[in-house]
Amino acid sequence: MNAGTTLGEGLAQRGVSRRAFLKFCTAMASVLALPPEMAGVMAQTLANARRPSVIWLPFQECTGCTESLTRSHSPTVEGMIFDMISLDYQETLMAAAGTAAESAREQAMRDNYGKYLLLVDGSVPTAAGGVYSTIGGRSNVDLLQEAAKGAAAIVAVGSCAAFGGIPKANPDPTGAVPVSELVRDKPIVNVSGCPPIPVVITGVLVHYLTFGTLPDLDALGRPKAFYGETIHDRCYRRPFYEQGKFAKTFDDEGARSGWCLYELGCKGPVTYNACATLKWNDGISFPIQSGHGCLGCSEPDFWDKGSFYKALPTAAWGTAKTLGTAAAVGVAVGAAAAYAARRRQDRIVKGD
Amino acid sequence: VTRLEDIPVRVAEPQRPASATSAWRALLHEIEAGLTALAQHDRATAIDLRRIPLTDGDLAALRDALGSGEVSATVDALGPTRIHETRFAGVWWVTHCNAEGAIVGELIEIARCPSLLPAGEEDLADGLSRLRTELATTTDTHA
Repeated sequence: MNAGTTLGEGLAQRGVSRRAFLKFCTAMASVLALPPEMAGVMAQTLANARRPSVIWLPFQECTGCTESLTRSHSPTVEGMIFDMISLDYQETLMAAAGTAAESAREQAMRDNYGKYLLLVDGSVPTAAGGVYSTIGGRSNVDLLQEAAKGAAAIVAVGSCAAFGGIPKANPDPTGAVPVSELVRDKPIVNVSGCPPIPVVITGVLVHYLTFGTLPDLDALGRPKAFYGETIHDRCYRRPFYEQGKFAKTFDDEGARSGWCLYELGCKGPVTYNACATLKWNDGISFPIQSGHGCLGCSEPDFWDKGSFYKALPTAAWGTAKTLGTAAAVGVAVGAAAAYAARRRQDRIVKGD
Repeated sequence: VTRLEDIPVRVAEPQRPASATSAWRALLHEIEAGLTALAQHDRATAIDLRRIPLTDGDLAALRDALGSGEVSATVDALGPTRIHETRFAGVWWVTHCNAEGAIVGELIEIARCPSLLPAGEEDLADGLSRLRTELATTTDTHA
């Protein structure tokens, strides 16, 4: 399929039926919090759209973000995005290597100047002239700035590209910075998470293809449709929190009974992400459902905010006031229980 | 403890709030408004059940209230989609699953026919073209 065909023609050539495509659009409208009637409009718009050129640059990263998007065992909703874009450069997935690969990137940038989408995973090292990470002898800073010039928009995939991530963790030997610190004149969407939920990456691309704009973003540049609520807001263990029922260790009666993991260090109350609703591995589970607290991986500096296993410390993760607000929002299972839980929580975060 | 099975661990099912809230009844009113729009203005609407915070009890109550009508269908596209008409004609319960069987979309569609079922214009043209080709290139072996 060449980039000249419309998306609808391309999908038909690949044997994707109209109904499968409509179903994809219905699922996408749902995750993007659009009215369900938009699915038909979305399908019509996308079918007539040209496949956009996408250049994906990897910097200081672990390839986990790519794994997140590509590790599907069967045709999935999130995987279908690969049929809808022209992925012209992606080191992990492309067959070409060396000079041929770099030529493909340069060609795609020339042919689609001003129109291509730039995806970046990994943070960018700036110390010592950027020598800590180079591709084809060129520093990541150099490659990013060159590619950003001709990009219509940039998607920073994962917490490294969005906020610096693990490479930026203290003592930050490489001087790692997020994309937004080096590129100021292009629209940037931060799709944070370590890794991000695959359907979130897909959702942002579909929104761009459908409306020609980026979705509404929060103060940290993240799409509100996915990062508008905390893990805690939508956690199925929330009723236990309201009742003041907390696991104290990972093998006590409370842990076995599925009680709230707040006291075991869960960062759900201050972490904005959609894990509790969209879940992982084809919707099977998410960390809290598997018995482990949320690490807060979609928040800036989560890696330097103290132990994963210590209950939210006020100094690093916010204040008793913000946590009190978290307790007040959502399903109230009994005002007295919630009040008791909040008082209890205040004591916890104050270290009493 | 000598064997793995001796370790006393039990898997607790998440204790979801099973009781129904008033949300399912509010949804019935929304469905009533949608059905009115369909009957009077021929305007189809849909309700995305996954965007509404419903308890398991709410969903069960809504299923009970809507019941089953005489039409059901399965569409095999990127995994199965199950559709059934409720006991109120024009109100359809649509469940989209992926190939792994996980639900990727669940809607109440209020329409004469669910949007996924009718054959599209291009599909008709494509089918007609293939049928004509087959008629032109094959001979009647039963003659």
